[in-house]
Amino acid sequence: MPSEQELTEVLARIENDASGFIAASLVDLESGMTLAVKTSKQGFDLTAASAYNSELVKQKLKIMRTLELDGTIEDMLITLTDQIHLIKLVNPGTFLYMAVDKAQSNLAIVRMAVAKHVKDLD
Amino acid sequence: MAVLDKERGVIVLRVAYDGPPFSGKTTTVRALAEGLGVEVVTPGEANGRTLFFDYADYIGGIFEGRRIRCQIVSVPGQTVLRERRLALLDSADVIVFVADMRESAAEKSFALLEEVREDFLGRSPPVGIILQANKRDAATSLPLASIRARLSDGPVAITQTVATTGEGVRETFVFAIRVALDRVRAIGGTRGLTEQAPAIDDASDLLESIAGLGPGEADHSPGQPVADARSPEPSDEPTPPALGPSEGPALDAEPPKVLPFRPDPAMPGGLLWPPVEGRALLHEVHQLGLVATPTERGSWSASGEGWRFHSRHDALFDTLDAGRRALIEWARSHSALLDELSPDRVLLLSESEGGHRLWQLVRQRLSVAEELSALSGAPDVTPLALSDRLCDVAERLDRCLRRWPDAGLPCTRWTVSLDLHGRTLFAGLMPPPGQTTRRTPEVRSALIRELQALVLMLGDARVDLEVVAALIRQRASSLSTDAPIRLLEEALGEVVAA
Ligand SMILES: Nc1nc2c(ncn2[C@@H]2O[C@H](COP(=O)(O)OP(=O)(O)OP(=O)(O)O)[C@@H](O)[C@H]2O)c(=O)[nH]1
Ligand SMILES: [Mg+2]
Repeated sequence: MPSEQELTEVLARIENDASGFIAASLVDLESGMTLAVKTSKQGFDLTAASAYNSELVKQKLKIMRTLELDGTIEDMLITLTDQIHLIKLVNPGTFLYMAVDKAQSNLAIVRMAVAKHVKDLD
Repeated sequence: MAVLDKERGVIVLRVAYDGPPFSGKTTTVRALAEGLGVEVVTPGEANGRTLFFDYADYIGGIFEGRRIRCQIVSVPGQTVLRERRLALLDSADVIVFVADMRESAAEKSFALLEEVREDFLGRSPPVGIILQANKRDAATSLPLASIRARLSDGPVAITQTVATTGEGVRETFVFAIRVALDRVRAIGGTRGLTEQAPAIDDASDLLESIAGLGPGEADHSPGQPVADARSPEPSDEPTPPALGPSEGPALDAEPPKVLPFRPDPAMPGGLLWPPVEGRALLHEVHQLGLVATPTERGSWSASGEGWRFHSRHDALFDTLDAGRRALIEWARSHSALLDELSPDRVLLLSESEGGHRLWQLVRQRLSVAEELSALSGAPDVTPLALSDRLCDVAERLDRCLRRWPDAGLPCTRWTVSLDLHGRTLFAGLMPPPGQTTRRTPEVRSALIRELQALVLMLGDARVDLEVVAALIRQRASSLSTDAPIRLLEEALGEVVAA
């Protein structure tokens, strides 16, 4: 497992590649604990957002089990009026959570930035 | 001699394990301590022979509304260490006489037992003696009938053990506590006890009190350890030996300076679980002003104001990364067991001793043992209410014993509790995540043990226990012999008969 510092550096590289970056965190799915965080906006409660989003992912996984869907989650997208939130499963126990400003970015940029670096988070 | 330590709210009892050399005293105490989940301190050994004593401290059970703290001490058997042995025995509230019951060794045991009986049964009130017939696994072990026949002339209870496997060891101990409490009753119960903190509070105190007592031979300077005739080489251990860091502070060294722990609600995120509610709880506990300090064994703890803080002796990490990894492991095991755990638990990493220490903060809840003890002593308790609660607790313990150990949760009368909706919850301190592989106790015998201990606590109930027993018998009559209520009936029957 990479150290917190190494993980934070990867998040910094994602920040570089994604315009409109607000915040990103690597989150332990089971416990909702952040493994690394990076934010460029004051007042964005990344700890709480990460914990709540782990509940969201767990719920979604539960729904999939209930419906007996065979696939796995690759990512989850939430579009707000002014932000885009992306959840990307890094491995079955960890996910990347990221928020960007919709006015300065778009979904393609976000997905590309994440795809480029996600393997370094595993 | 038993004392009432008002400050800590406990009755302090001393259980001494005596017996001839090599009979298995040390093996017994180690097996017992392992079963009780406490540590044994052994200040010195030479070639496997005890030079001073083995010591363990255990809190469990309630007498007249107070917790019982047992100081468990085993003596050195070697004849040359007789002075130390007698000094250790002197303050015992009960003696467990560990005898080697192999044919070749039994006579020696009987001879020494005779001496001990003369001394201790003659005291007022008498100090009870239990004959723990050990090494029952040996082919030449005397049959119980022959042992009984040899003891026809005095009141000594016999238990049988194989100390190397731990068989019978705990039962003997539980019985010994009963006998010790009988003695406390004989002097008027808690009211008859001297109120004071125990003169000997830990292994270091005990060592100090006997270290001056030498082997009593002219060619040994006082206090010098010996290896007896059977040991090929004399020991060169210093006297008194300093207790190693894992066993307690060295006698003559200042303990390292450490700052007490106080939870900080402003601590950084990512080092706290649960990430959101955890911080709210930290605000609450911070205001209580509860401060934790290290214990002699290297763990840290504090309790009061409805909370308990704990950090294991091995929960100190050199680097933040190592600490975080451990924290995540703990957080995962908590999350996975969330439905079983009592609410309001916090895990956190705090700077300490030059590294990072992992803590668990747990809101305290009444365990079923405490709840039953309170109920049985309540002025308005009825036999029906008490029997209902007992049956309910027996069934809950049974269910938890089947489920919890596999998940790594220890199930005892002290860890099981109920919430307002009658759900069963684990209220103890969480064991470390990796411990799920521990030996799962056999459900039936574990349940019997818990029930026996529970009914022992009812000694001071404000209702007629015979009526309670009759009510339970009525319920049990239609149940299978393995039903928890049946086992409860048996356990209670024993107490009522006694
Ligand atoms: N077979 C068998 N061996 C045992 C049993 N209990 C203890 N022993 C062995 O007996 C030997 C002595 O055990 P100890 O526990 O060291 O005896 P002790 O009474 O503490 O001896 P001293 O400290 O010298 O008085 C060890 O080799 C033990 O493994 C038992 O129940 N069965
Ligand atoms: Mg010994």
